[in-house]
Amino acid sequence: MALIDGMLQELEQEAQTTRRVLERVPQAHLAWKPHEKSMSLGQLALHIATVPGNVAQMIAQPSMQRPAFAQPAATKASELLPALENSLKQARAALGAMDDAAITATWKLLDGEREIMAMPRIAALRAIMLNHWYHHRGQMSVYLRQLNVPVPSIYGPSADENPFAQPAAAAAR
Amino acid sequence: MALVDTLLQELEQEAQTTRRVLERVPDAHLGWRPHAKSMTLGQLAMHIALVPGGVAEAAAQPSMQRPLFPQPSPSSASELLPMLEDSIKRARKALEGLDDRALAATWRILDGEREILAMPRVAVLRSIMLNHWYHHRGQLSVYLRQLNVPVPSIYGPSADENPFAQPAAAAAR
Repeated sequence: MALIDGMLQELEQEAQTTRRVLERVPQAHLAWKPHEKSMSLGQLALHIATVPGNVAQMIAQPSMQRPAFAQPAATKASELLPALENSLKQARAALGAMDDAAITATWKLLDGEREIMAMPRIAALRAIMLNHWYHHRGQMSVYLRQLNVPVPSIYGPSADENPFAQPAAAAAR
Repeated sequence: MALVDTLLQELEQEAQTTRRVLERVPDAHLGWRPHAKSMTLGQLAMHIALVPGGVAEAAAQPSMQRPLFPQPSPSSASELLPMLEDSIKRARKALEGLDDRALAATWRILDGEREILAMPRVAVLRSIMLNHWYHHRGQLSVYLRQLNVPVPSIYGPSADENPFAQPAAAAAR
């Protein structure tokens, strides 16, 4: 098994969970933010939808310049799932081209000529494409909760949904 | 390199970030929660502190019974960092005992005799010890923001801290 295969499997599995979260983003509250310094719901949701493809494409390059973090917002909640599907497609294409030599080679984040960060490509994908994605999806679950949207199961039961419950008990709710 | 070494490296690296987040939990607001259905700040912070050791020890067994998720809260925020250190120590110890064969073997969550979940031990550690940990740390960052605590850099800049900035610009702030 190539090194990238484990990562592709994880991407597909976590994408299922991400779909469950993004499909609940309420159109009426896209501009809502929990604090003036926070991203709005629409910014956070679009960021989550576009992380896999953007990060995979960036890391497929030898290096990248320090990003500007523009944070555009979704104008419609209905854009989010198609944006996620497109992003996953981009990620699959970028990752599928990486053999073990490419994935262990060093990738750099630069600011002009100054090196901000240098790490094996596989570590960058792990931290920025995957772990950072879960981080923001966790943030989104707090946003949904505060907007009174039922929170789906992410890694276990939420206060609304329990995938570990007895099938009978789940049916009775 | 044994399979477990990658997990151990990531655990140590992400633990550094988790320390930066937990050390900012304000003692005065441990009972605060963003919504009636949310965990309190104290519950969420303690859960994050306990995840690595708790999950690694559970995953080192052949199976576990469905957890009850009691979600205790610390009596003081000063307990959190020592709790995290103890948890990381227990995780290291449990993980170091796992060779490639043990990591590839199937682990189960049971409810009495009913099987809720069965997956390779390495997938459990990836999903529940690590990814689920980042998920909750992301949630905690939204709590800290709403409590007006400056949010540390987690995977990149926060609205308060930018590790990618020019050293001169950072010094001038």
